[in-house]
Amino acid sequence: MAAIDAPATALLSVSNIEVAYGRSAPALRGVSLRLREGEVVSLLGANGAGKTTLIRSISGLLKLHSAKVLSGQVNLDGARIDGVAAHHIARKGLSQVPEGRMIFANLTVAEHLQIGALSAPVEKHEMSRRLVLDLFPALRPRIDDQAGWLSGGEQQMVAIGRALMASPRLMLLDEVSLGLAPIITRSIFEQLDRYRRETGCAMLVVEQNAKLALDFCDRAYVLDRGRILLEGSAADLKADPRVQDLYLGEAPGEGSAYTFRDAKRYRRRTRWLK
Amino acid sequence: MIFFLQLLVSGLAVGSVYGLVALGFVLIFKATDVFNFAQGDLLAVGAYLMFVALAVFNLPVALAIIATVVAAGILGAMLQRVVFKPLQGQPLLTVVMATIALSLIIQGALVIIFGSQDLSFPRTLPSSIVAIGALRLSMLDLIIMGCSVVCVSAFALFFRYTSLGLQMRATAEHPEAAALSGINSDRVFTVAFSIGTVTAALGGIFLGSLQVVSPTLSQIGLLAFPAVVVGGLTSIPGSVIGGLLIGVLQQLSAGYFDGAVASVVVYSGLLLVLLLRPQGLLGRPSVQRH
Ligand SMILES: Nc1ncnc2c1ncn2[C@@H]1O[C@H](COP(=O)(O)OP(=O)(O)OP(=O)(O)O)[C@@H](O)[C@H]1O
Ligand SMILES: [Mg+2]
Repeated sequence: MAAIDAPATALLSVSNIEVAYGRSAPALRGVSLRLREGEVVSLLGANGAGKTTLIRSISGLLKLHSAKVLSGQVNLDGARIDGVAAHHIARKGLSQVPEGRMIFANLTVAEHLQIGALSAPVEKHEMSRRLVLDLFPALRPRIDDQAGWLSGGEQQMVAIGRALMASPRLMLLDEVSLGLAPIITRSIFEQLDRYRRETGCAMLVVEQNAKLALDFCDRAYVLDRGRILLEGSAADLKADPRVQDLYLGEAPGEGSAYTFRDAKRYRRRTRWLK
Repeated sequence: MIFFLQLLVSGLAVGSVYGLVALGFVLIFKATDVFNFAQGDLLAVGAYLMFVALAVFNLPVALAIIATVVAAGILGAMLQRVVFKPLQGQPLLTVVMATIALSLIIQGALVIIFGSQDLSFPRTLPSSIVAIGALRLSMLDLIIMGCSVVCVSAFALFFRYTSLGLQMRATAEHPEAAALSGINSDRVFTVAFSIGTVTAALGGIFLGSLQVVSPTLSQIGLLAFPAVVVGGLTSIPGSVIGGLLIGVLQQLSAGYFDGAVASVVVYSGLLLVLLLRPQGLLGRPSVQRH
């Protein structure tokens, strides 16, 4: 275990963590994950597999949900961050596009960008702002509008823009495509790809649309009921019969979202696999 | 007509104080989800702090106000750290019970320390009479109105234009997202309690100057509640307008009838607003798509 997870060589390393909400059974059991500087890794898995829980364990949000890391550790840049408050972690260069967007409905788009910039040095603000409006030109005319009145896709752009304003070294993206039209999802991922090439920002991407995620990332992990089921390069996983069967084989086509029925089928199949 | 105008001005003066106190209340509620029933008692504490600064330390009025404001700010921060931080995440009702306990503790402590008799400030803000034609206005009313307007505007500018103000609005709306952006919610909560206590203390200074300093100020401070509810629990401009309405209603009915009628009128008005517009006059259901 120690050899794989040697914290010093990784930007982010999650080592064998067990996480539980309150007194309920652990949502993560012995999960390990590693991410190098500039690397894009995706995290796949059915509903309830523990993807969001893993993201929360990294960004310091467990406490807000009365959960905690029972054993194992999380390191960012070699320093332990499990148990550290979310706002401290944010200031270490980690930012997040959370599940459900979590925009501030009554704040304007401009104010979201200002808030995102809080954890970046002042001299970077103007450049990041230009970059964000460049990536998402649709936000320009809405800049002084309250975010609560924007469309779902525009709100997602605001959430991503807010995260980018921090000039992060590592970005966590939790189901960016949720509820968006395939064409918007694709354009958002194109912009993320462009951002990543321009800045070398590392990304950990949770995504239900496996094809989209595997096309976008370098490596991927498949999480199943709190454990890592598979792990490998994007190309290997795309070729892996189990992934093909579970995620890609019957996928109704490019850009389609993973549906509830897919999830149920997935659960049946993984059980059958074991 | 003259009588009406005079009542109107004194109503606006008292009302602006209610508005100021209500603003502090709304701020605490919005930022920290604490529905603070001790706000009226913090107002009384402000009046007594001012009394101590004037009568015990012999400070000039301006310095006494500054000292009171500073002390109130520190007291607010301490309350957050000692009482409300440990209660974070508890159900609303538990926290409300805690604020009621706090309210009773403060009332008792004030009586123990200062007795229950009426005190008055040995020196106070100028209180001459200004005559405009036949209209005779109290200088004190005008000063208090002016100060309240300045304070409310200052707080409004603070929320709108400063980084800390923005952080407070963000935390009030979505604490989780605020934390993810590097905002320290503890710091924001502490500032909210400080400012909320300072507005209450300023209210205490003003009401103590208009009337007397006594433990009953706690109850008068409760008039900030109708102001809050009338204005909508989360609207800062609403709470100020609510305060002005309550003040004017109270002074008019007390002037034409008497004090008892005034409370019947004020609270009937409150009930009426609640029945017709449960979200308050300016309160609105928050815009949020999911
Ligand atoms: N706030 C919470 N309190 C208690 N239990 C929770 C909480 N959030 C998640 N869980 C539990 O933890 C497990 C993993 O949930 P998690 O949200 O991490 O799954 P997920 O992989 O993100 O699913 P989805 O694809 O539906 O978003 C689930 O069994 C869920 O019931
Ligand atoms: Mg999730």
